[in-house]
Amino acid sequence: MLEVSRLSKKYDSDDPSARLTVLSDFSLCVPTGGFAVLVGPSGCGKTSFFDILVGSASADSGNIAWNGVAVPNLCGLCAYMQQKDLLLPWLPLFENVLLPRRVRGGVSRDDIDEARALFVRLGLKGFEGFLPSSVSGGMRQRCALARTLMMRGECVLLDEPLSALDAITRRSLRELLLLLQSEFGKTVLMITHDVEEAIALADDIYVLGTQPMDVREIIRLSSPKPRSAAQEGFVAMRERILGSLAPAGASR
Amino acid sequence: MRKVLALLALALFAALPVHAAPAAEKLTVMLDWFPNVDHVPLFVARDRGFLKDAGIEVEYLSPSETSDALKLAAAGQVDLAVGYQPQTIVAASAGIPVCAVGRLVEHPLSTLLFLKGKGIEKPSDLSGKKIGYTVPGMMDILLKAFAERNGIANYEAVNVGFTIVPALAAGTVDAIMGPFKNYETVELEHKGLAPQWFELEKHGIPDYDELIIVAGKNAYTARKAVIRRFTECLGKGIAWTKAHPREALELYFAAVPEAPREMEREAFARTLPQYASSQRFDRKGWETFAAFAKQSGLIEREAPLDDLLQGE
Amino acid sequence: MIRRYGPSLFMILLLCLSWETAVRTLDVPWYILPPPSQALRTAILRSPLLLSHSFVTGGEILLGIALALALAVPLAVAMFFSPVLDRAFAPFLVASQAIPVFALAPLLIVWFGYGIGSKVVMAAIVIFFPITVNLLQGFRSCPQELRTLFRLMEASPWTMLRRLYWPFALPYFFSGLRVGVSVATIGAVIGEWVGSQKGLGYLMIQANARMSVDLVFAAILWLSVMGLALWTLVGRIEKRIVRWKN
Repeated sequence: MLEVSRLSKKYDSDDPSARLTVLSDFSLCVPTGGFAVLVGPSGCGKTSFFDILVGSASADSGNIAWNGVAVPNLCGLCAYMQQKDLLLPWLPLFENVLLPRRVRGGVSRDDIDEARALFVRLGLKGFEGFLPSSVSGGMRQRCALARTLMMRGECVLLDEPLSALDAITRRSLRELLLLLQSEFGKTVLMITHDVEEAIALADDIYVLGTQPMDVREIIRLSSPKPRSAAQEGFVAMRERILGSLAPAGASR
Repeated sequence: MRKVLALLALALFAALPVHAAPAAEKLTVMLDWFPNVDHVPLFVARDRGFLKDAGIEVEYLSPSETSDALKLAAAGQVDLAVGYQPQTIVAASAGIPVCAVGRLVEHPLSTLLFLKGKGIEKPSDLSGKKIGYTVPGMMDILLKAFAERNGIANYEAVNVGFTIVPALAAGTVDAIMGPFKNYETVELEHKGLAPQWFELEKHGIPDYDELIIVAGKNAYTARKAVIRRFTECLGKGIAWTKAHPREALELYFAAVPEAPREMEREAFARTLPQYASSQRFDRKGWETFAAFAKQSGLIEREAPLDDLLQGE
Repeated sequence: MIRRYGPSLFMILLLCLSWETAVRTLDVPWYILPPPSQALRTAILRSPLLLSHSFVTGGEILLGIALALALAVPLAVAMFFSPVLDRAFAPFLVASQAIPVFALAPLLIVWFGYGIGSKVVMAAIVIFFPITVNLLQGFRSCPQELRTLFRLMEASPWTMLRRLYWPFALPYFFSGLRVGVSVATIGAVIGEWVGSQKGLGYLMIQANARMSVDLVFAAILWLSVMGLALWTLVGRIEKRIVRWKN
């Protein structure tokens, strides 16, 4: 279980107009094995929040706790997937997927079997020896997903993992993201600006405001996933969320 | 009436042939290296007015490299050059159109130099030792000839370039062929070392002019008269230098302020007896040296001396 | 084959033709600048001589490259991981490039003697800078996101160097190496000018003293070919090793 309590982050500056309060008493809670999605407009601070979670930046105040234990950040506890696939261009796909195990100390027979199984599961069979530059964006993200699954960490952070892909590819990869939860039991925290994606995938949707990033609404969804636009209530939900997201008065 | 007389006087005045001094002829002379005490007579000739009286305006230039002067003179880029007799013979043999027109230093300055206290009394004591040389293609050949004529056996030749002092001081070589007896010897003494040397001309190498004045063949043909006057003035410069050494040296220092005074004062004392006593070439001496050059492998083809020697 | 080498061969021919024409029409004396035809003829006729001297200079260059690599790689790594060392060494790095090598040559002779040592060190000095600077640049250009990824995988600095920074910097390293090997010839030759027994630089001085200017240029021709060969060789090696696009 991931608990974030009252995180605050301010960027100071001599220039008053450049001062920015990114986070102010921000809190959220993702139950173990849950799938939480943060939806908000660009620039509201989602990435700064993730920077704090992975340890690239530190909060001014507030706590992070994993399974009840307070931690400074989630280094070593979480896996990470970004908009960029972050595959090492000089390694073939299979080696990229094995990377977390190699970094940790060594690759065993089991590791190789595990990786092979993932290749099959994620539709990458046959492409083990290809370099990232020789395969499509969608395949690269699938490979990144496989690597994410090979990383240690029960928590997975997804920072707009599908935004760089075209609409068709995006749809087909959505279901694979669900595997993280359904087949591998991970606790998932995802950021997106795509409202439909959030509705399709989330157990809990956090609708965010901007400057500072605060929680405008928490929507709990319990219908079976993935949810499609054809289903009843989908469109209404979408409109509700878009309404919540509309800027209230002063903009950045 | 007065007005007419005045006008007449004016007209007469205007009609008088004005005695204008003829415009001085210009000569560029490229030295063999940076100005040093070898060149004192050249500066005397200029600054004591000998050249001016002969209607010559001279400019002394320094080369970037010692073979430059001769080549540039041959190509006509400079009028005259200070060269070396051996080098000039090599050039002539290679077909470069130059001729020797004047003399500056009439004996070799290059020596086989070593340090005192290493047990070297005669040349053959250098057998089995390391001997350096300064210029590949010239000094190594002279060294070989010297060794043959003086019984130096089994020596190892090392090209030391111009790092004469460190090589001897560190003992990397036991002797060097090439340092000048009037210059590097002083340098070494000032550094606290005790140099000794074998003079080439006293050990079987034919005597030669270390420094001569060289002109391109075309330049000589075109401006023979001026060049002849120049070498005459050079002769005067040398004579005056020998007669008034102290003043000559001061004149040189005034002309070349960057010269290291203390060292060059001593170097000058050693150079004084070496200046050429005449502008007339020693034809026999050149023939002997040319034969030696061919025999020792310095040149492959004969050097045509008739064309080459254009002294007084 | 023609497409790959055609354009450069054409340029070389053009250059030779202009040189030949210029020398003839401007009546440049052969003892100052020989026409390429003469230099080429000497380069071919006196191949055995030039070849034996080339081996010496070539050897100095190869050893110089090895020495430069042995120094440049650890230094770049140290300067990358330690800001203190970076600040300490940066001025020397720049100085090593700015100092005219000709001035260093006599010093190197004093320290390393008249043998091959001083020439190898000279060549190394000249190559050292482009390699170090480019490698350092390569390390520094590694994107932050990849570093974060490795940090999340709890990678040690050594692991990051071995699996992230070094492979990432390889293309940069090779461009530095290519530049370095082509100027290595300069270092070796200058080293030979100030005291050597063999080598193309030595041959050039000797030929110059004997007024064989065509031989001087023939030696220059061989040096150029050597530099070109090294450049091409490094390019080939790079193609074999770096098969990806960053």
